[in-house]
Amino acid sequence: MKTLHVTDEQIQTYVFDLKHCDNPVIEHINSCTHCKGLVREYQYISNAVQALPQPGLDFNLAQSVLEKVPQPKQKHTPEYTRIGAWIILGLGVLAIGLNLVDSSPMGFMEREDFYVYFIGLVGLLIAVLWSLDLLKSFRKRMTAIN
Amino acid sequence: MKDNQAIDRHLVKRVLEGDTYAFETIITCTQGLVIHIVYKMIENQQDREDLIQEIYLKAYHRLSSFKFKSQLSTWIGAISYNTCINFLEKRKIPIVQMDGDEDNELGNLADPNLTRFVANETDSHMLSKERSQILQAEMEKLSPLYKTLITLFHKEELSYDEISKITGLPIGTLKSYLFRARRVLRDNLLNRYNKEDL
Repeated sequence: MKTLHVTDEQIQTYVFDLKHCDNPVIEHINSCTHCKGLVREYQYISNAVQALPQPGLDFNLAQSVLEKVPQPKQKHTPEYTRIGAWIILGLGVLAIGLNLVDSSPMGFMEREDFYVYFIGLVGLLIAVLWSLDLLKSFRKRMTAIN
Repeated sequence: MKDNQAIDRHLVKRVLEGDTYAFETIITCTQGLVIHIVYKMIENQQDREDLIQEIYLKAYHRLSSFKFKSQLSTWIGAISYNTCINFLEKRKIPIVQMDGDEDNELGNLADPNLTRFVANETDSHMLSKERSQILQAEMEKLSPLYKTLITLFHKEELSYDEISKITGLPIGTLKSYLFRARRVLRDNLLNRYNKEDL
């Protein structure tokens, strides 16, 4: 003789996938102590599986993997302040050389004017290169924070 | 979901730009899932550790092919599952136990009663710990696929859709395997309980 109880799949659908459970099945389970008992068993199994301890590794996985990952080539980013220092040094040497060789370094301007422009140019160059380096280090920090 | 995708995109972009620390973040965020899959599919501890590292190296090298059609963790989960399947196939280990057609009419079962096994609030800590150990032991007896599906659904709390993407199984097949897996686990617990009760 066939029993009127619902199937095991229907019990599991009721417990774990209620939105796909048919109304007659829900009604039966709600009114049947035998089926309710099975519902509790599956709920218990689910809760017990959830409470099982998480397996862990006894070594540092990330470190171990990263050691085997090919290291990216360091991107060559110019250091503007250093480049600027070399340019300024070169200009200084040029200016001193011209000053020693010729009393009028540039044909179209006086020596004093030349110094003023030269100092102004050097100052501007330092400011620009310094700003570039600051911007670069700011971007680097923002990337690290992100 | 959208937040997760934005984080995934950001991390992947940084790794592809050569930032290996971003890959460390990816490992930290996904290793729980990967460990669960590998530990349920593979028995030997050394094999598990080797495979977990192999999975992340594969993920690193294939990262440029990730199309963001799923979450990054799901994609890495799929790599884990497939790597384990390939490993088991090479060793000719079946991933699912071939049980005969089961009669699903519960009324035909002799005594489908785990009620005394089911924990209640008055149980001592020792008793619930003992039950947890029994459950763990019975879980380990299941076939690799059953263990993995139960863990992904109940422990990792993934949706059918996510599990389907990881395992490549159609949702109908996946549900059917899950039904059988829980049923086998329940029956095993019942047998164990009845034996110990004798």
